[in-house]
Amino acid sequence: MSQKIINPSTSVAPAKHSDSTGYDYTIGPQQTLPNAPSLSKATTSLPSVYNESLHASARNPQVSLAAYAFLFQELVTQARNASKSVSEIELRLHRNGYHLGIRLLELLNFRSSVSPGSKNFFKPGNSSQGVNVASSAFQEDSLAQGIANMKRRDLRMVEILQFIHGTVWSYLFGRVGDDLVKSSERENEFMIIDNSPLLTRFISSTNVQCDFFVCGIIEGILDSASFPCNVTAHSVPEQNFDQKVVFVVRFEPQVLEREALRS
Amino acid sequence: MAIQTILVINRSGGLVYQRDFLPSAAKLTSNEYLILAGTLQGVVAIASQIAPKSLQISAKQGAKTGSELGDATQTVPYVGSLGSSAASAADLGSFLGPDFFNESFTSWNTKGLKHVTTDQNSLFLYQTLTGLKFVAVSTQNTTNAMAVSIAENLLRKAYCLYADYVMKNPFYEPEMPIRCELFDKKLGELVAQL
Amino acid sequence: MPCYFAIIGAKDNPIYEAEFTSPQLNQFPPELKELNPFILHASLDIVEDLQWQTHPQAGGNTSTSGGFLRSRHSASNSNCYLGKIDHFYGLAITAYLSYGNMKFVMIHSSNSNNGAPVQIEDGPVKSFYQEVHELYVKTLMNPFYKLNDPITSPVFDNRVRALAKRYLTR
Repeated sequence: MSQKIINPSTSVAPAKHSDSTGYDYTIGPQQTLPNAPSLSKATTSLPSVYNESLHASARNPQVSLAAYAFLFQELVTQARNASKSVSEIELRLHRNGYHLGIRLLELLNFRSSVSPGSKNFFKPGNSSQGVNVASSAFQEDSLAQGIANMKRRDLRMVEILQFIHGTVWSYLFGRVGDDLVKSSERENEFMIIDNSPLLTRFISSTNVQCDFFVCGIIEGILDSASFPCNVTAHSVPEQNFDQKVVFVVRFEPQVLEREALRS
Repeated sequence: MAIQTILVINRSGGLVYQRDFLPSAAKLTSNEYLILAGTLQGVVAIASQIAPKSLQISAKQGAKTGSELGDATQTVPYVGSLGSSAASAADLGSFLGPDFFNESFTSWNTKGLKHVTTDQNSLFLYQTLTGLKFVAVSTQNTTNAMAVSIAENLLRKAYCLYADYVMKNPFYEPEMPIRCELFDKKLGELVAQL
Repeated sequence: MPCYFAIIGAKDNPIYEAEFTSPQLNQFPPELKELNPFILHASLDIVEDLQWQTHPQAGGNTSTSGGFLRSRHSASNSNCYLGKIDHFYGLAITAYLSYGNMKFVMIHSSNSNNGAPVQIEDGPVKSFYQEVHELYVKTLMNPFYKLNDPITSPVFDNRVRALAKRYLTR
């Protein structure tokens, strides 16, 4: 018999909430008990993702292009070794990018909510100190305290695409995308144009389209922002930009319907 | 002086890249190029065997160094005529900035062949730390020290291109013949700037 | 006042739940406690309606659906914090949406048992949501965390409870 039976969230707590073990969906919501320590020592001193600051200046934002290129090369090689066909390689790259996109949407939007003048601006995470006093440890590196108003959620197709074309592109590639075009033929089709894609600039064109990684990022962002869509990359060599890539975003019909209703 | 051919020889003496830049020049067959690469590899090995003795002599004698055999800490002066003005920041690939190409650099070819002159041609070698060799064949014979520096600067840039467009290409197998469009293209641009 | 807080994922699945109570104050009565998840899920429809409105809290316009339940707000441009969206027999329900459309929902119960409607102080509640949002983004930065999975980290749990202590149950 399975050990994890999902109990109804009963009023009788099955176990004493003496030391928090985190949320357990099989038990349901747990009460904060009167004598529970607000923050146990063990959990604060451990290195944890919660002790890191989310602020952009907490880390060096500059990454060596060579390191970036070698990492991407390894990613492609790994996908290539694990796949049997070209489309499978592209699918794997796409999937890798997708998970990145989900995270970028939240992170970059959250970061742009932080106003540059807030008091925490020049104080990136103080997590490295060994002894953290229980309650004050995390209050200081909390960015949310400095936020007066969160950035608007993007509700329209154009808004979210501009977010990708501007914020995401400059975070990933250090510059904004070259163009954002709406298709004249189809209502649900948009194109993000990059004249010299940074990730694949050292990769000679082959039958494998490595820009599918970026497609995955775009699709991850749009999907988790509830704009279900399909993104593909097409390389369109031009005279001056022989590595030009066009990312075609095709939204599902429900997105158009919703926008027509709400506008 | 024009560059006729550029060759890249891997560390085991195999020819991995060969390209002619002058369509008019007499061509060797691919087999002959392979033999040339193998021979060069052998000559370089022999040269490095004889090098230490002459290095000792040159070290004793002081400043005077042999023309073929450079001393251990030789730096090659930067030659500005190498089309560096046209190389904008975007063309430099992953190399930091134009100043990387504006300063003299250390030659790693400390013991071995650097320059071969025949009646018809000159042949310049650039050796990397990993044993990779870049060879340029020019159309005139020259023993001019300036020409040697120019060739060394050129081949170093070719090495940078190799580092970018060959080694960062996930579809390239190390030690195998180089078939990368972008490397071809960039190398063509580099030689054309000369 | 006791609160029941939950983060609801994209598939309407709870990824985190917690009850904030304190000894001095009332607790959720046992018979109501079991209802909390249901009350909360019932309000998700309203959240999803407000999710796509351009100005979900711009004013208490009664003509739009769900609008009559909303608390009045200063006309801020932000649309993450939705304010009070629903009530259920004296319980108030507030909601907040993250950029990835995670729904942060909370049931506020009043301190007294007389059934008087709960007054929501928007300021602290909003700050609480923003701080939890930050913790959620940090959770997402963990490469081993998958979207829509339950957040089981004890550190997260501890921090959310500490935040609740600071902003809600005073």
